[in-house]
Amino acid sequence: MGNASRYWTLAKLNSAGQLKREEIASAKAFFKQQFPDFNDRDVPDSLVQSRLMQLMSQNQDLVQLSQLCLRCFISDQVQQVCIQLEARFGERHGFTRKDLFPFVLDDDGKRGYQSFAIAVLSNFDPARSSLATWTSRLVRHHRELNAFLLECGVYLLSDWAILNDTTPRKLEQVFTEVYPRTSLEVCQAIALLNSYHEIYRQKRLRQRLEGTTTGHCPPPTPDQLEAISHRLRQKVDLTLAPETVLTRLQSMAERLRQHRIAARRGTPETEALTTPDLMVTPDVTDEHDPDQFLQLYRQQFADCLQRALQRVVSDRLQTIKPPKNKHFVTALQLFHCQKMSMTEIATRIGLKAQFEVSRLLKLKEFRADVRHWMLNYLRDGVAALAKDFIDPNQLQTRDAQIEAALNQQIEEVIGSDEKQANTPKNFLVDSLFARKLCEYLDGIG
Amino acid sequence: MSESIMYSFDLLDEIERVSDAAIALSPDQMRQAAELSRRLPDAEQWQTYLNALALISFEEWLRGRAREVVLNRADCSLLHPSYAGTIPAVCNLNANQFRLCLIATGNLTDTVSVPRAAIELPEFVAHFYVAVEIREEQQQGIVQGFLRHDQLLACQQSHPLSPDADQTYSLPYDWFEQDPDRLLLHLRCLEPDAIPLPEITRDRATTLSNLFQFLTQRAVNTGLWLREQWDEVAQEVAWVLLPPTATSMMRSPVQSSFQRSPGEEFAAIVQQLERSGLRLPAQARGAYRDWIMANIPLRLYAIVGEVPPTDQRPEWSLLLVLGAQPRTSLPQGISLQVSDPTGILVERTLDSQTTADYLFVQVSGTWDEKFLASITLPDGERLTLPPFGFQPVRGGE
Repeated sequence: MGNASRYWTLAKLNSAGQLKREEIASAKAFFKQQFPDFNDRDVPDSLVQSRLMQLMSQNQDLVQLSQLCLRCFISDQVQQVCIQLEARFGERHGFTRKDLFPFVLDDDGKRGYQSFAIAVLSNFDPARSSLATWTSRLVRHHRELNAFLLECGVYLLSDWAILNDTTPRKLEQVFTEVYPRTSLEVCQAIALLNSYHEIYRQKRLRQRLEGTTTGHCPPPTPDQLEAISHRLRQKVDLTLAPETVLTRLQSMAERLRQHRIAARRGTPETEALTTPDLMVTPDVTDEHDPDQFLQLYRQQFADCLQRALQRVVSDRLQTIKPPKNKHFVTALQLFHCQKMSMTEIATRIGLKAQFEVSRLLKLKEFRADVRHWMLNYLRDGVAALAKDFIDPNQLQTRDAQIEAALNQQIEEVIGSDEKQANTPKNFLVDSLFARKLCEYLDGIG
Repeated sequence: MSESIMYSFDLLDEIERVSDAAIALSPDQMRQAAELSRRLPDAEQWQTYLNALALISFEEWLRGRAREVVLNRADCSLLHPSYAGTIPAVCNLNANQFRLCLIATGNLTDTVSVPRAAIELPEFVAHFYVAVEIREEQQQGIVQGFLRHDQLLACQQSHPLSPDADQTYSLPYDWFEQDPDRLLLHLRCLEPDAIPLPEITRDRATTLSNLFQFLTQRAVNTGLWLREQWDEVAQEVAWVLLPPTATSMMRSPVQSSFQRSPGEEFAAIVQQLERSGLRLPAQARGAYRDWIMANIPLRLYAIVGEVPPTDQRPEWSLLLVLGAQPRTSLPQGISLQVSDPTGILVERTLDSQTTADYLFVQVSGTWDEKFLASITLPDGERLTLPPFGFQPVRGGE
């Protein structure tokens, strides 16, 4: 049940690019006249939308007004999706709803313009989904909007990328285990996917060779759909019209996408900043106990740490291209020595958002590199340690010990929680890691 | 019903984040990868393209993280024309003297498909199997995780896996160490000896090429012949099924004729063989194929059938007869060889003592056993056909 005013209030951008909500009197009068029985607060959306679609296709006189009502509804839904995107990703990835509106909120309520709303309506089928869901789907699949979001570090895989990425075996597994199908349906689906692969992937490879693709996978062209349909007839004697090929492929991609989300929910997502479980099995035959290992080499520890830090920072400076390498040193300094949050650092060094800073610093990797160099320096310094490097499990134990030793000092900075990682407020002032790093950064700065 | 499944998710869950670990690939790198795949048959191009993207991503990753690790791609299977398309992975990539096998995985994966050859053939075995996720559309690669050879063996021992029809093993993703930093740890601090690999014995040229065929090629399912069916493999290599009458004709006298059909010719051959004591299964079916090898027009007959089981396990037999096409004859010194994965089972050579029109070999085994036939010409030119298998009933049907 929805609010009736959605059908006569148009959300649009004014010439200054600001959002305005405008009540359209003609749409309101028309709606009231068509649906006199409904309470304004409890409108049965599916029924209303089917009726309006029907009026649009049947009655010449009412085409404009019914369409206008639906366009109002779409404008409101588009606005909602942009707000949701902002709420979920905006802060971390550095965009606001205002950046998104111009891509999809281009309907000014007038005639004759191929707006996004018209595109939404052109393929809308009330029997298959609600207009709200359909609109959300098309917003998320909007090509330019996606290109913009990708620049900000978020994206939606296209249906075609999903199909390119799916093997017939995987499809069979999903269709037999997750969404039960008859074996004939499974066979047909596999033949469809195979035919799609043959036609679409070849073209994609050619485009990559010629450099004529921006990356985004466009829907198959009418020619390609025709060719896929032809292959199907040849292979499994299945006759599908090109339009049917398209809708079947889309719904196949949709299933695979949902399966993927469900599978991902089942397994905890590994984010770059989390500390992974140690796969190290406790080594009972180990002569050194962990503390002894660290104790023995305590004197060397600080020295090796310093050398390792130098090595890793200077390596990074060589691989990161200017001017980003300057940003890297500054960001490292601001984070570890001045305890600034990544969001603050972003503003300071002229980056868009926190995520860009975290991609620049790659703190987890930075720490791992430091550990590995420490181990190398420790091995070179102490002959007795060399035998620890013969066995992969022992080596992992040592790596884990150094990690734990370093973590005691810096875990609060680079905690598993992203939010925590943004603000190093719990930073221990006396951290050996930070002290050595800052000393070094001061030296090169 | 399905609609409610579809939309029970928050739509924003579909939006992905670019991972911090993602390696951005340039359009030029994408082009290089496409270029590498172009030399191969259409059907092998996409996988090879993904493999090339995995290699480029991995190289970029090392360049950014560990410049001191020396990477050598000269020996890797991707750049070797005879392996690039047949091994769906990048084997024999050398990093600080360790052998790596890169496997391009997709976005939907919960298993990692590692080719049999990369696990079972010492020539392709790796110290580390490295999963590299390829996001083709986003032009990104992500080094996801790795599996040490010794850990792979241990996992396989406790959870035996059997290979899939496409000659790969689907290894559960959680067998892999999902922190690629640990791979760097090993490459930086460990010596290759620490992870023992099976030795490559000498003089393996023939065995290796046979094994390679077994482990990379799909077998022709001759079991379908009994049901008048063809699988794709049989179609590709142009086998022609002989009518069932051909086998019944074997038991009645056939007039020798210059222009006799392959079926008639085959019936005559079998008659000859039966006279010398050979027994064919009751419900046998045969097929033949013609081809030209170094200007010599050859014809090979294959006849298969079920034979009485031993130890309750159903068995099948394969009879191969190599001859020349009408009006030609086999050259002296030609040989026909049949192998199974353990080695050569039978070899027949046409020499001056055994002047004959045909070479024949019969072998039998259980339904899961496969055989490989090779033909070698006197000058050493060799042709190995896709393996023969026998599954008259498809699993699950």
